[in-house]
Amino acid sequence: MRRPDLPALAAGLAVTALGLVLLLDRLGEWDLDFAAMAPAVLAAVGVVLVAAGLARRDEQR
Amino acid sequence: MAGGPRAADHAAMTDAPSRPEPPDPLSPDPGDAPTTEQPPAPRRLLRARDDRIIGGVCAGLGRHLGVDPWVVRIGFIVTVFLGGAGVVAYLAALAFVPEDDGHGAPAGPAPLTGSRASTIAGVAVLAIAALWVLDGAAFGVGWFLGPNLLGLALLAGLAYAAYRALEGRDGGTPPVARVAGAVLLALAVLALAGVGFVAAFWLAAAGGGTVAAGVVIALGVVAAVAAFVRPVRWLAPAALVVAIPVAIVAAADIDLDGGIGQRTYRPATVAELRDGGYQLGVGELVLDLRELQWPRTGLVETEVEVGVGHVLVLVPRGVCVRASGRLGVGALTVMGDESGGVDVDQELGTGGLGDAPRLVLTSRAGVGHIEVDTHPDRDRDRGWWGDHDEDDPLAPQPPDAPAPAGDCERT
Repeated sequence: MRRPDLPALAAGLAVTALGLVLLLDRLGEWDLDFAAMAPAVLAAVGVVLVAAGLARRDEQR
Repeated sequence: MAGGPRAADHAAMTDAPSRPEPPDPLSPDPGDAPTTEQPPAPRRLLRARDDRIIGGVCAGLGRHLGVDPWVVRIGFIVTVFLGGAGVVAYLAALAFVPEDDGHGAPAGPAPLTGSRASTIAGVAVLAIAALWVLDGAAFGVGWFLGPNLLGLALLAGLAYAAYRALEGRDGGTPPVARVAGAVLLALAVLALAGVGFVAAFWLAAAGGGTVAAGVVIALGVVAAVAAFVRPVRWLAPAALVVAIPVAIVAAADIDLDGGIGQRTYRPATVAELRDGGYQLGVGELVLDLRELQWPRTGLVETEVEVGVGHVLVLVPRGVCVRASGRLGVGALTVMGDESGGVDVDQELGTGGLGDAPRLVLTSRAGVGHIEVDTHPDRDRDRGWWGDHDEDDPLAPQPPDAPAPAGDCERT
């Protein structure tokens, strides 16, 4: 099996996790306010940005 | 230190123009001497004598920054239409930045000939005219140093980023057309992201939050699976463009049921009050209870809700109010007492729930302001929601209007 592109994999998993959080909130399982939602969104955005930076660094090598 | 950049800078700062010295015949051939690489002397900002269109400011600034002068010129032209600050900056540079003498040193002060004085006066008059037009006299809004500067800063940032990226890729000064093309491409991507953001926001707020969350999950799963086959790097950022507005809607519990616009309700009796309360998606909802015939029990209960916007509940003077408000982002104001911020869950009141007429209000807002008052223009006086004209039915009651029996003290 081909070795996965780790930054892309991490970004995809972070987005999937955020989507699951949103889905649970919309389905009424959770009731998240800004105090809980903001860190979740920032964590996902941070992972995606770091992954993009790592991917660009790998391309330049 | 004599030959360092500091000395070179000092030489450039003097008013006397520096001339290239003739070669010394007694000195050894420079080609035979051991060479030590000297850092380039810092360039001083000078107005260009050649390649100028008006005063050489843009050409000089372009040389100083190492960019094509037309990039700077386009930037200045854009500032004329997006705020006008560049006009002031250009005039300041024209006044204070010395002219290049042709050898990279500042020239002495130029004599004020009739032609030069006429040019300076003409530019000043044109600048005043431009500022006058752009600062509200023509468009009715203050453009000069106004909010358009934000767009200007965004455009300048994009241009700078595009320039540096192209410079790094091509290894030289990129032509203006390529920089402009890159900026247009970046603006197109930003516009597309903006459309996606707004569309996801509306979808989630209109009840499609589950679908939007499903889209986010699908994009994330595809991005993760593609990492094993062929990474698609734009998928995760695209998913965030959808996820962030959905998260805002979810956190603020924004609900667009009730439509968009301004709604004003003036029930005359308790029977006319809506059983399910009053709801608006986006806009301003006014519930005017000043003409309401208060019941014998003295108690009126109702609910108001807005997704994004302003709720104003007007009550007669002397009515006690107990208002509870839940807001994602915003403020609850009762007779001037305000509680606001993020995740607001607050109860405010004017106390005294005895025999006095009283209103118990339950209110909700995703993003907005819920206000209970006897005076409709309190916020309008602060400029938050615009002005009402004299014929406005929401005009404040005259000071001598009869107040219902009873009075309330603040709690």
